[in-house]
Amino acid sequence: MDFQGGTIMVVKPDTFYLFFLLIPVVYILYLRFKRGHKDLGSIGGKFRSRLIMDVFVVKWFFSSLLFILFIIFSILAAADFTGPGKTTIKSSEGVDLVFLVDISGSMLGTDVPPSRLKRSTDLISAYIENLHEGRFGLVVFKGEGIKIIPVTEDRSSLSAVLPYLSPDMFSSSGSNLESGINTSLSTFTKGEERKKIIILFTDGEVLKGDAMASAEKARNLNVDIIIIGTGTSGGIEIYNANGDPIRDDKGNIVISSLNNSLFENMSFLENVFYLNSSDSTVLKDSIDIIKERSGSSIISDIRESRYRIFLSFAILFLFLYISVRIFPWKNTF
Amino acid sequence: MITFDFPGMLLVIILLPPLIFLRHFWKNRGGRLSFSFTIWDQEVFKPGIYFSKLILFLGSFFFWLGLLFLIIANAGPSLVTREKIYMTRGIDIMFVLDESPSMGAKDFLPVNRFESAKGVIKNFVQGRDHDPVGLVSFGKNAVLRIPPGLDYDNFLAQLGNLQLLDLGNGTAMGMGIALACLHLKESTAKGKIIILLTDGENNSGEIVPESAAQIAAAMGIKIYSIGLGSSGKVPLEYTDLETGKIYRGIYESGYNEDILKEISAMTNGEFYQARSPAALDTIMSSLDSLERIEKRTRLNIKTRPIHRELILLGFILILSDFFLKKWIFREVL
Repeated sequence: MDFQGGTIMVVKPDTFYLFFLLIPVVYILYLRFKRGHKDLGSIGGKFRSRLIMDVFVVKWFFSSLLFILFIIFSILAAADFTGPGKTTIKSSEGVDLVFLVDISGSMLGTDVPPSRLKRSTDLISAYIENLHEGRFGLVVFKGEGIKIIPVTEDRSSLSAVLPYLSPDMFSSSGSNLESGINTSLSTFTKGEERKKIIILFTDGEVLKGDAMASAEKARNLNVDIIIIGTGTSGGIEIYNANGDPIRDDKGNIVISSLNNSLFENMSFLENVFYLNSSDSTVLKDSIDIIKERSGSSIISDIRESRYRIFLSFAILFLFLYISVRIFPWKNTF
Repeated sequence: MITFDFPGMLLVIILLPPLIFLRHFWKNRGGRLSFSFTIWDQEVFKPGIYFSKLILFLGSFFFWLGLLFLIIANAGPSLVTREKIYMTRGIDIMFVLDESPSMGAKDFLPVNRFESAKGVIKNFVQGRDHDPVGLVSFGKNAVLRIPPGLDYDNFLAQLGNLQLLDLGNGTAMGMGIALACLHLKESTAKGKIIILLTDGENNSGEIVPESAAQIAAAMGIKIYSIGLGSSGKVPLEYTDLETGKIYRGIYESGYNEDILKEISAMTNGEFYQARSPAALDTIMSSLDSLERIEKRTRLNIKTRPIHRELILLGFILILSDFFLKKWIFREVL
């Protein structure tokens, strides 16, 4: 999360929560002052206690002040202030698309006719037909992500596999979107500057993994994700192979519905786009996004970090803090 | 690899040893107060905390280690990764491998023809650099195993999984070549080749090798055909995949050399005879050097600053020492 103030930006503003540590630090320093004042007053003896107290108060004050300043400037350094950025525009040479398909049981829901999964594979066929350039790969996920077709120009191999996608392909259970996205990221070929896009077909009934974390990982790798949400908000019952509706532990029929909230959260990331497969313009809209994102440029914004100013002061204050302790004053301590 | 933007800042580390000496070993250091025991009108000192010296040592160790991390962070450390970016397209290579039972002939000791062929294909692919490779295998039927792509790990995994007799008892060479051509159809590579490894005559499938070669020639695909094995009686062994039964016997080996020469000639390829593993190795090596194109590459250097991790780590270590000494040991200064 970033925020911007003029030309200075704080990359990690969450770091400022560490300032709360000053409360226990100041409290402990105060307690040590009280204790030291009392004990040193006792052991100083009749003739030296005043001198000892003077030295103690002065040393305590400066060492505490310097330590607190060290904490403040360390936190400011860790928050990572950055100056104005330098924009770098690179052009990408082609686009690689990985279709990531949810093949969990809920994708057999018929609220999107003929079924959520069939709608997804039909859309994939449409993409293959309408996108005349680019390379394609195919990954499916249930309990984990599995690479089916590595990225290739050979569209016919992809088309041949699509009719066979089903929950019965693999025995793993559940729905782990994080694993699916991670497997998709590993499917892209290294060593080429091509625009990389994952097109995700899912109803969002995610039971395992941290989908947001993998979406952020994709962002850091400059990979876009277009989510095609398949299903309806109202949901539908899901049936097993015997034709019986699936029930939960309490015997209630499970209703599987489209998880809009997950997609809306993910689409806050600048590399994630969300469309609904039921929209009549979903194919055109997604192709427009693909063309826009892959057409011309990958922009990287390199900002110079200004942390060293704060860190240098933090180190200086720490050295002075050590020195206050090391060097005796007035031949006392 | 770690690099530093301001390596000169690391010179500050030179100050650490004298500071450590002054802080812990200097005879006249501050922070210590001698007093008359008779003035101390309290209880006798008791060793309060077990292993107190060890804990104090750990605390001091954390402090200096934390300071070291902060100094290193101030030098601007970054993790550098280098990625080779290919500016030119490689050539597409499709391997068409015979899986018929005769490939179990044991005249390619110490293994049979099939395992020997797999071995040389593996070495060939591992020596390639950014050339898409694919795999078709044939027995009674022909199957695409991997479409042409740059995922060499996936290719080698699929190659390793191939088994004799997986596609039935027959030799559909023409179908294998035709299937390879089909999956090279959409390739945009300037060079496309098929490397055919077989030891038999075409006796299955609807397409004869000559017709498949015509298709390849029309698509500009070269066919390098390698005839495996020697003529005459050879020992044979293979396992029936359905029953697990092992079959052994003597097999009258031979392939139609004229057909292989013809299909190579039609496509401007070459025909080779491999009667031993060494000969097969040599042939593949010469193919490897024959079909290479000059590739232009660029080195992409990515840097990831790691100063923030070091700052936080140093901060935590120094605070640990603070809490240890001020809270647990109640150090007053």
